[in-house]
Amino acid sequence: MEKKDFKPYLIEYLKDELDEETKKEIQSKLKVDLELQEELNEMQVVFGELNKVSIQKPDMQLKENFQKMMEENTAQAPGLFSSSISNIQNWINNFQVTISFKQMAYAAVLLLVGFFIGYNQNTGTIISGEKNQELSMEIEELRKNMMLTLLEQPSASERIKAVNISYDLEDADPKVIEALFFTLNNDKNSNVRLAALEALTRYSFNKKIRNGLTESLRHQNKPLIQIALIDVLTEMHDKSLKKEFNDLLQQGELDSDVKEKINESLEILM
Amino acid sequence: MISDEALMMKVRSGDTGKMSLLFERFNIPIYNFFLKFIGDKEISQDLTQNVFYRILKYNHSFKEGASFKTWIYQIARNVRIDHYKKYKIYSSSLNTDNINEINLTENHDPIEKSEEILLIQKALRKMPEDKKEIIVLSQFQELRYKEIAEILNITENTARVKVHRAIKELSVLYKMLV
Repeated sequence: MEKKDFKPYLIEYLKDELDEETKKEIQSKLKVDLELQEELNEMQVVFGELNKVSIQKPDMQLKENFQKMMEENTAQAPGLFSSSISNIQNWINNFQVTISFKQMAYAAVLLLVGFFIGYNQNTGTIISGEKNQELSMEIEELRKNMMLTLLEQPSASERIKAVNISYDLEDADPKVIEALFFTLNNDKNSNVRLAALEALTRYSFNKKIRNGLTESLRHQNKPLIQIALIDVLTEMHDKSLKKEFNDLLQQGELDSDVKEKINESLEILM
Repeated sequence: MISDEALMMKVRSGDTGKMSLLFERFNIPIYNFFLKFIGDKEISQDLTQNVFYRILKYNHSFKEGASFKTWIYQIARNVRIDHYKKYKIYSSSLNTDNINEINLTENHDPIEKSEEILLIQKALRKMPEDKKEIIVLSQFQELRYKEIAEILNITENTARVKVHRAIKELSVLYKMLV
């Protein structure tokens, strides 16, 4: 055997995946090479721990969604993939699977708005400032509606996408803020809640929003969200938060990581 | 048992019903591939669904003679990369270290809450993405070095060395936490 460094083969040795020859060579090398022995022991520990991590099963929802996708695919595109025309049909059909009618309508309106802007620019027509403003407002309104629609989607990644749309909005619209707070306080997925918190942080200069975030802290029960909220609130350096944090500390079943975070924050706010 | 490749060739020729068999064989490993990276059940399910959607959509790109297993993991990698790109603002601006640790305790079964297992998972999540990926592929997905090499477009020996280095780094991180 030409290879001199046996270390990279130790994992296969542990998994018993080596050919007999290499296995025997490693076994004889192990008897004399302390460093290799040590490396094997080290690998064994990590390998043993990794083996204990079990495989998780997805919810039934995944299978149901898959079946739905297959049904839609069969119903909408018989003879799929058989010709270039059917490939185009398939593309359109698949597009419909992921994009709802409402979303398509918004996209169409956005396209029209874009067309008119482009048309007016190309023909040299000067749109008055008032008209421009009107168009911007319409686009802003469409974005808001798109965001609110996506927030109601069952998929967590779609809801995160909705939260991200809020970054494109210029003003702190009450409807948007309300929807973000609703998401922060009620969404069943922690990552969606965190995304909402991150989006709301941009408006933390607004006292109402700061109050809303403080209020939200009282209702959150997941340590992950509590810690993220405490971080955000602490950055505001509002001394009145000390009372909130102290009240929270009095709660009997508070997670130890959250307690530690509050104590750190209280030191900062001193 | 009909091979994965034969099933995929049938899907490619229009018998899309055979997708169900491929789904049965691969939905759990692919779901776990995402779960080990993202730590969120719901998003991992969405991404798994996306993988099967792409298989259906791009079935013509499956080459005769290719390994289906390698191909599906290449798709899964792309789905994961696209997911990270899409939510760049979100993921980069949050303290993912804390999130992931706590998500682990929220998402995993009680049997997995033993301290050592949580520590090894914590160590894994502290690793750079490329090294984490190679451990996930080799240890959790039980792929052979030859398959990992094909997925990552490297040689088999490079894959072997990379896995070894990644496990070694994981061991160091694990020791620091214990």
